[in-house]
Amino acid sequence: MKHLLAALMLMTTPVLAEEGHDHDQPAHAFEIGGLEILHPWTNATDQDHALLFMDLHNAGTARVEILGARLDSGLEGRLVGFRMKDGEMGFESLPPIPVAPGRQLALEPDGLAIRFDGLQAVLEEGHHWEVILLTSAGELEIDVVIEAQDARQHGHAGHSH
Amino acid sequence: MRDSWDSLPVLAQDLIIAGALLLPLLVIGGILLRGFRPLPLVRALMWRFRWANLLFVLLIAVSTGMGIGLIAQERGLRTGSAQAAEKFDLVVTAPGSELTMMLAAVFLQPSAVPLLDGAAYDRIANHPQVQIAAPIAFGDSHDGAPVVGTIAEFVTYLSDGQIEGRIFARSGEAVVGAAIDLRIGDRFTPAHGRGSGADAEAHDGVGIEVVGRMARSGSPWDRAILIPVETVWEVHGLANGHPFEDGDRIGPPFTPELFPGTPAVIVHAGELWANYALRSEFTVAGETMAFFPGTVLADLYRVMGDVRQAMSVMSIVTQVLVAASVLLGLFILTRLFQRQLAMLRALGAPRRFVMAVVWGYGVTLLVAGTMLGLAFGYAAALVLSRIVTHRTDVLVTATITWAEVNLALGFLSAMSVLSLVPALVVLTRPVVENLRQ
Amino acid sequence: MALPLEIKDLEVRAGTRTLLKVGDLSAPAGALIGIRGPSGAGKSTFLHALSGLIEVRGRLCWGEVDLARLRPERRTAFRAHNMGLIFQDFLLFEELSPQANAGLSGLFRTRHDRAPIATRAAEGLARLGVPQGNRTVGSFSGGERQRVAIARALATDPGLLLADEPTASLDRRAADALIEDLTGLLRAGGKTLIAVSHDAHLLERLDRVLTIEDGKVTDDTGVQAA
Ligand SMILES: Nc1ncnc2c1ncn2[C@@H]1O[C@H](COP(=O)(O)OP(=O)(O)OP(=O)(O)O)[C@@H](O)[C@H]1O
Ligand SMILES: [Mg+2]
Repeated sequence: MKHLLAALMLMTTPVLAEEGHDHDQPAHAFEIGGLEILHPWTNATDQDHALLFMDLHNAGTARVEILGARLDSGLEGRLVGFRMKDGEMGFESLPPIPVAPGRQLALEPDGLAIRFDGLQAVLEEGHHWEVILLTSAGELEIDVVIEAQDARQHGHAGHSH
Repeated sequence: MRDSWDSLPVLAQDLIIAGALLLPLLVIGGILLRGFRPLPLVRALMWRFRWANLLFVLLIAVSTGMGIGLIAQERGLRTGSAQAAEKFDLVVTAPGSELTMMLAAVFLQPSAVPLLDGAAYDRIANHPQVQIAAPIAFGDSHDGAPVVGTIAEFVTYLSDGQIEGRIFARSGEAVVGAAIDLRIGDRFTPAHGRGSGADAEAHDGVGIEVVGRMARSGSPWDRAILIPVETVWEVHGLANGHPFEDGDRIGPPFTPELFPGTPAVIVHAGELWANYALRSEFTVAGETMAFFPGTVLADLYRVMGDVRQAMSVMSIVTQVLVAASVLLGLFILTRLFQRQLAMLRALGAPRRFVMAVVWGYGVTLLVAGTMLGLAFGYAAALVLSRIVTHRTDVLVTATITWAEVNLALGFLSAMSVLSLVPALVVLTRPVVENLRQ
Repeated sequence: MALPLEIKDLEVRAGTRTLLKVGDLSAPAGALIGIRGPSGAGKSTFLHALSGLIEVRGRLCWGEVDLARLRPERRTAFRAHNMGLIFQDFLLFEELSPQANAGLSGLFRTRHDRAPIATRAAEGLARLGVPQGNRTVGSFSGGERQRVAIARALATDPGLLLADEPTASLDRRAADALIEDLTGLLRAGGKTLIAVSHDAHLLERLDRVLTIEDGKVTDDTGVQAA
């Protein structure tokens, strides 16, 4: 049974992976209160924690604070910042971060991220992950692309669009 | 189970791991040696094969020491460089290689880097989240040490306010790093350029007076001479960032049109989170680039980590080969004293005693080799750290932690189990056969 | 304590080959017995059988104990408590002092036995005239080495001494001196000796001499002493 499942997964994964990178898909961007969310992504993992990355741009007229994120299951993700302390890499919890009108904010590896601890399901490369972004302008459901386990940037990086 | 383990102090965890690693050795030793006194015979064998034994011990020591020294050194380098960069939250430069910019701005490695103009500096310095925006200016040196132009606020921040004497208050004054061979009150003329190409006469007539000395920080800034950025510009015949009406005032604000440019602005934000926002904001395509030295180092450490892993694999392979040759050596040597071991059996010694002698002999070699290996590893890390510290002024401290000790103990323990093999092989041959020879 | 020997239908085989066959043989406790015979006849094999180092069939009784029916580790323990062995080439630890060599058994015997073994080792060395001091036996002559080996064999106060060519590595003078001291010591202690030897000087000092040829006892002289 297990083998059958694995085989099925092997067969379906490449197809889904292609979909994930398909340019005909709806643009991988979301918007709330003037805040544009571009390319939300994460790394595939079978561990119980994950980091959520994205590019933010405030195209509106009011400042928007990023508070964190939540899953449908209720699991909360909090804002963290990458820090080097005594040669050890780690993350520190951060308070809500404001994005002023016209400003950008990048959540990226070795920088800012939203961290989930206590994940139940495995995040598989090429699949999508539903996350609710929490901002001062409201909650927004976003569709997160799951990139390779060792990806350092989202799949569209380098593409000019 | 997991929770109670996590709640233990780290030292207790390490000691428990060390104990668990040594357990096989201790159990075997306990079982084999109980009630026996094989030591005089082990000593006799140690002496009989002293040159071969010495070779074995050195082999084990070198292979163990290599692995340990490597790990210790890598960690020392990592901690040292991270600590040296700790004060540098965010660096803004012209676009280019983050690594080059970091080496230049944080580790003061001489390199030609493009400049940011007055407008760019102004934008950074006036950002509401920015507490300190320090321009820096390199290029000159004194006695091999870089002379770095910056602002007083940054010097205070860099040294945590620990300055003997005082901070520079006007152009022509200097605060020196802890490793600089100048005393307060000394005067010097900076040379143009750094290293062997430095031109000592270019700035003739310029006298700079040392007014303060920073406490040691373990970073390349210990070997730097800090002067007002205005002084650097003036010495090079450039505008000094201030209009004539300002008189002798130094430090920010600067007039953008009179700002000659800076290769890097070292930014300190009021709050931690702001650093991340500032990085996004100061990363402007084609204009400025902002990076966390910590992140650049993290990338570097990942590469270093990969190298370390590759080298660890090599050192483990070496160790396994050494282990194999030591075992083979034990086989050969036990053959040489097989008759004596048979004699012991003939005298009525139980099998366990004969095993205790052979195993004890092997384990004595292993323990001696491992202990010496730890010492070798520590010595190697110590020497390498000294060299790195001397060359780069990044304070690298060699430490042997439980991680290395446990690695060595694990090897020792595994080998001690394998040492049972020659001991058992000795017993497989009938006593009389060995007696006949 | 010395024990009487009683053998009945003893047989030692290696594979299908019979190395030794002894029908009936007995000896009282305290007898000094020599064994001679051509090379390859089975003399050492007989000694190994008597010391329980090899498996045998039939009956091989030292007192009440039948070695043929004991498991190897039990035979080893029996040997440790009742026998001393001497070899042609001594088999000493050259790195150790004569005292350490003579007291070797103490290393694997119980704590309780250690002190008496050390004491007897020292006494034996003194009685056999072994040079005292911190020299290791590596610098000893052949005669001196065999004395250390004898002291080692007797340190556990065994009733029985088994020797394989004890004088073969020694020159005449050293051999004669050793024979004198060894037989004196054994007779004084009432111990049994079974010695394989070609040395006529040794054999003539013994009570009885067996000749083994082709795995069989073909001659048994000196029975009168029994
Ligand atoms: N394990 C064995 N397998 C087969 N043959 C053996 C074995 N052990 C001994 N022999 C043979 O048994 C015979 C008797 O050997 P043993 O050593 O008892 O002779 P020995 O009388 O002591 O001779 P030597 O005077 O030369 O010492 C020899 O032919 C020897 O080759
Ligand atoms: Mg023989």
